[in-house]
Amino acid sequence: MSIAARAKGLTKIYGSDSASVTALEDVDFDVTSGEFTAIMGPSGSGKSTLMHLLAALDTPTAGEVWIGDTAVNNLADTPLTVLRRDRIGFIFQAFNLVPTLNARENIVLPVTIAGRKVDVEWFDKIIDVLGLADRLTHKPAELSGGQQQRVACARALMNRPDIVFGDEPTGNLDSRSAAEVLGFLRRSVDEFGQTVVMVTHDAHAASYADRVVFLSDGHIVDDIRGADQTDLLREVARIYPRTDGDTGPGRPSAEAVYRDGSAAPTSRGVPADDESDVERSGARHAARG
Amino acid sequence: MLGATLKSLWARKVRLLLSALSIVLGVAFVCGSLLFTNLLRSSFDQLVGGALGDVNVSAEAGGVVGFEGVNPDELPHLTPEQVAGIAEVDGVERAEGIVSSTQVFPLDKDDNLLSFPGAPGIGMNWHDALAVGGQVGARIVEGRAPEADDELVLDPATAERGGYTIGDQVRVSTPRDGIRSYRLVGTGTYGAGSTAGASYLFFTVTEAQAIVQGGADTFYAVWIQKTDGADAETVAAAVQAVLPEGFVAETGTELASTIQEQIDVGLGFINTFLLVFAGIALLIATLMILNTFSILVAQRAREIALLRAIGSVRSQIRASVLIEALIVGLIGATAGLLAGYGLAWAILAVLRVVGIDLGPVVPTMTWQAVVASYGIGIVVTLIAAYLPASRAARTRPVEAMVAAAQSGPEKQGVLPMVGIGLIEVGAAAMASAVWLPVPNPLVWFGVGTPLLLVGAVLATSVVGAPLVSLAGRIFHRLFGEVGRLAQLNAARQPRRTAATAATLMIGLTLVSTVAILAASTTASIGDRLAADQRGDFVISPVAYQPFDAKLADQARDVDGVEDVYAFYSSSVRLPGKDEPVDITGATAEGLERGTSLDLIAGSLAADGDARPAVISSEFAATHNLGLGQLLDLESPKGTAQVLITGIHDGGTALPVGQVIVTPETYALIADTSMVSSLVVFTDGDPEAARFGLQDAVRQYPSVALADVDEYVDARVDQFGQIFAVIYALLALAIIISVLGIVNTLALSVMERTREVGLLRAVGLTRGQLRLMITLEAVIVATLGAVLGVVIGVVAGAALVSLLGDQGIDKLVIPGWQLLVFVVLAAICGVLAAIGPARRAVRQDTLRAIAAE
Repeated sequence: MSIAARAKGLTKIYGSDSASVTALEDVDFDVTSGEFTAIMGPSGSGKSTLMHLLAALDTPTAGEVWIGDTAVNNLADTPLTVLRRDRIGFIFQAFNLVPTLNARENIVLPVTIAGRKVDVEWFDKIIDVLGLADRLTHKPAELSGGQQQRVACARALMNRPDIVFGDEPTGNLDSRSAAEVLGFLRRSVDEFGQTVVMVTHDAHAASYADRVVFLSDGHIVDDIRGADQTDLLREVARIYPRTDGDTGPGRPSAEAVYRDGSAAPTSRGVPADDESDVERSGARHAARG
Repeated sequence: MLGATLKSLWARKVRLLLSALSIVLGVAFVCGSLLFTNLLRSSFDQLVGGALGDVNVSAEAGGVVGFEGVNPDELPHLTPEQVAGIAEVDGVERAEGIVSSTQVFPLDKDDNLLSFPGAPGIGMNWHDALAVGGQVGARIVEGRAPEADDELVLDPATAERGGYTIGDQVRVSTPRDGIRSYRLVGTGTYGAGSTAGASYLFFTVTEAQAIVQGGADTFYAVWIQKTDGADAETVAAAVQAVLPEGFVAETGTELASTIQEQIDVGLGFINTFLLVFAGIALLIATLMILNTFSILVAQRAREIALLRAIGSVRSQIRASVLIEALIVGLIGATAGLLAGYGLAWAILAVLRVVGIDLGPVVPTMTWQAVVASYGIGIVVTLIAAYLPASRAARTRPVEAMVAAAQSGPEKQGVLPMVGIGLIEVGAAAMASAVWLPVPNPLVWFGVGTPLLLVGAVLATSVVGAPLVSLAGRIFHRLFGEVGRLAQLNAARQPRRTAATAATLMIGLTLVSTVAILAASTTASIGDRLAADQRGDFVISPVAYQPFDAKLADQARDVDGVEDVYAFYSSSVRLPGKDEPVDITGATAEGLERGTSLDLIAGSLAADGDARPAVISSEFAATHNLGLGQLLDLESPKGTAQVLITGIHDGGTALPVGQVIVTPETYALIADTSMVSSLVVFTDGDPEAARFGLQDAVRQYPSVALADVDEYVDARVDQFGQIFAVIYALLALAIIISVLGIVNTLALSVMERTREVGLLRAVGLTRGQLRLMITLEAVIVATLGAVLGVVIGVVAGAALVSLLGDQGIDKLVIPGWQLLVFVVLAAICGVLAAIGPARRAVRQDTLRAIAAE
């Protein structure tokens, strides 16, 4: 399996001297092509920083980032911008759309600012999957939050990017809309072979992913594949326990419920899982309707 | 609540300072013009004060040389004995006879005039009697007073401009003797040293008498210094008693206030002129502040909603915004006051550099300027901020919970409809002025044009919409998606774009109107001058002062010259009437061949023994005169009775008087040793005679030889200079509007931080981002410019058609020039975008997206 993006020895320190905050410390991380990766962690864990660095939106204090075979660190602004435009898709938590452009124009924006022709067939396919066909002439202000995020998804995929990055893409959405967006990201991986990396603090959202990476205090503390929502909730409770000692009524201790019963490691390799990714996600879809 | 206001003000200081800038400029203009006119007045005060004796004796019809343009030769003079008699009067300490002329011009080392065009060269005899109230009169600054007849004292500014130092030989153009050479023995001036642009030349009494009045040992005026403790009015009365008929003795104070009144009329005009421009600047400032506060309030919608949610009532919100405006107004007015003070210094410095010495006066802050500056600054800001303040007060608490970091789409409201109504009324008024026989069409025009302009300001968002979308189509074609984004940005807040464009529109309306007026005026006048010009050459003075008539004879002697016609001009009075009557002296042949005079009836032919005269039809109507009537013309020199033998209707290139008489008649009542212009006819080969004529003219540096084309160009150029000054002032209005575009654009870009971040994230390069912001500015600037030029063309064409009977009968629309204005405005847009674009490009993509 090829690597879509790679981070090596990634360190990010904000501020300087006494006021400095280490957001990431010597993190090695690979994003596998054709996989849906979620980065989980509480506020301040460094998950957003990791994604921003991977997406070439920010520059690391130390370490290196590759998008495919391209080393991002030394790129000047314009090649970097072109790389973002042509090889990366973005979905932000809010404010994804240019308010003066209608839905259609927003979707094709990365193509039109590159001065290229829109691939109509591809466009129609995305629109069809996202169910946006009757919303194309609407301005963002005339769309619901869920519709806006679906337009953002369509835009992110329009250039057939190497990776789509989502920064809490469902953070502002109601559960129904969130499910639609997550379902679409899932389908884009399953049907179009898209690589997706999503930052979230929501175990439900993360459960759509093939692989979930947990961050805490600037380190990757866990890396699991094929976990369902219950697994993830347990994992969250284990990795980020309440400091007042109360683990909640009737909740088993974090160690006891770890998925394969082993002593809690801080990180794991790719789990030996005979279930194929496609089968598993298909099962999940069936389960949720 | 006040604390919160101040805190939020401090947090937004940069943006507010940007908007205060417009107030600063407007107020600076008001303050600067007030201070400068005040400065000019005090300069003239000193000039007048130091140049008058306690009591001054002059001929009744006279006045002060240099202010009324009276030719002293035409007035009766006093003998030295009469002056000595005045000195004997009780209370008179000193009585100095004065010989003076305004036509003594110092020359530079290449024999060119050192004086400013139109400014008098005042040549007079040196004396050092004290001026009114014991002030210093004439004083030596450096060197010594003239003692021999070949010695000269110049005022320091003129000496410096000519590069003369004491001991140098200075050549001087005299009214009667051509160029004479003197040794500079000192520099000196009157009182405080202000000359207001004039040159002072001091000679010995005999030399002054020689060059001014052909050596006659007489004086045209007497400067009296009273003894200590004597009362000026009593002395004046005592002096009056010994004076011959036709002379008056006036106290210096009396005379000064008379002169002061005349100066005030002139300065009042300058004041009005500057204040009109200040008004334009402030109108633009109002629009800018309205814009700035609208944007700031919109950006703070969440903050305001939060304040509402925690219990602020609407009036508190409104007050909070208005207090912000008040503080901005205060800061702007203070800075504007200081800038205006600086402006007055700057004007003074510029005048000094070009050599106009206003003396040791400095701009002093007046309470009027302070009150006006603060009043205008604060009132304008409050008015402009009221609308945004009320809008802020309507913010609902729930908006605190909704992401509303951006100005929402604007509602158009009723203002554009009101604007369109005003445009219609204004246009109707202008159309009535032009096409309907309404009384006072200029008043109709004067009412209609501002209505049209104000209407256009209000309706810009509607009227401009098609232009913006046209620009969008063109830019989309040229620059692809980026061009379209720029147009959508310009169109998203139509009112804001309109208010920004309107500032430029006002400036360009005025510039275009002036351009059309200038082109039409120069074309009309040029055409008429060319059509009316007779002869091959015209010899005329450069400073409007009459020149030595001997030049006519010298020109006649030049090889190739067929004939030379001399034209004299002066003024006389009708018996029992006070107002002066302009008279021209010319031969009948000179009138016929040398001018294109439109004779309605009769001619200047002698009829028996009577002295013929041609009068203007206007003069005939005013005084109810007709052919065959007798008319008495009076002057201090004498009286002449003329028979009206003709009536003319003007139509000449040379200015002709209300009454035209023959040179013989003219000699009875005025001085024929000085002519006002000469028209030269050659034998058919002007170029052959040109050399000889130039040789003759070279002896008279205050006189210029010009062929027909040169003469027309020179006259037209004078208008060009006037228009250049107006352009310079309007440029300031346009600079303010460009700053307005910078301000609005900077605020809009700040407001769109997240959007810019998003665009960068999805692949807009820095170059594309810069292009997008630049194109948006170009759209706004071009919109303002195009609307401004359109209104300017309408107003200019209407004005020219109204001024048809004032001699501006040819409408010229300088299309290329107007196109250049629009292109320049677009370039201004490009320049205005530099700052905001740099800011947008530099901002961190990530932080922009993350910004809440």
